[in-house]
Amino acid sequence: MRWFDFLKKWFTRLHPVNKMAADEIAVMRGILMGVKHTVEVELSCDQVYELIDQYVEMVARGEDAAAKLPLVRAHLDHCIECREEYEVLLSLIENSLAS
Amino acid sequence: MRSNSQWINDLTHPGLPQDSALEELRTILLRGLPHALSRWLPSTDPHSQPLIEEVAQATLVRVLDKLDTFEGRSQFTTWANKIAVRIALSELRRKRWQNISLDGLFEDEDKPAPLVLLMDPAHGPATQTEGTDLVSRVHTIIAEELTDRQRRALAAMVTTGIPMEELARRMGTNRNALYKLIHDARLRLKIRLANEGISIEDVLSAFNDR
Repeated sequence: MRWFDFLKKWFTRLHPVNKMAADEIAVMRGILMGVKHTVEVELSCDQVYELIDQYVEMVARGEDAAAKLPLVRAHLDHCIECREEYEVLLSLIENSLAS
Repeated sequence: MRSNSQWINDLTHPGLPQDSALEELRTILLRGLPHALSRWLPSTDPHSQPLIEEVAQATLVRVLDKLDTFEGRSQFTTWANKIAVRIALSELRRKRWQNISLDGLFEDEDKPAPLVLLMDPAHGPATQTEGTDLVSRVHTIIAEELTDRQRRALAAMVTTGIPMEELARRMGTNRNALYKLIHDARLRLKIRLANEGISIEDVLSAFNDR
């Protein structure tokens, strides 16, 4: 059906984005959300791990930890695992202070 | 309540001081971990108590092993709890993901996986049209700037939400190295997009318009 192939090619030239699967668009969107807040210097997970106990105590004391350790804060914005560990540790410390 | 120096002093002296300190630390861990981990594992779950015990024991071993790395920038108990949290969440993540496949994304890196295939420049829309569509340009940039490994890693993380630790294991690397791989990818894209005068906000809006 050569006329159908011609129509398909013509439509694709006009609307190339429609060729992309929803999956691919979702991946691109996810990547770009991460790119948006990327900076040249970021701490690694190991480096943040070394500082996270100090950071958590600052937060628990009501200090502006993000201002004092901004690179830690930035990493926590990008790294789900480090953020999860931070949240659990903070919960632990806040509970122990409360009791 | 022990001071930091008391903790260090007692834990470095095998015998009664060390035993006493370890017992006290164990009590502190067992008291705090159940509630802190309750979002991951409810305390009513039959696996909760055995896991907490296992984590507490592993933490004591690691604390003794890493004692010389404690720098006193936080309370000793906070530092020890940090170790416990890392051990606990690593184990919980491993269990959660152990039976989940990534649809061949990394099992055979010679074979293009479905998502990566879609980002292959040879298969992208940019080769099928002369158009300057914004999304197509970004598609091409992603395909050109990133290595195959970077594209696979990003695709896996974005589509499955797999933890970096687990993904690193499947890629034969570690969490730290994977974070650096991903950071390099993000930075390359940021620089290239800026050089091409492409605003990320405009692209995200273009996605929302589809």
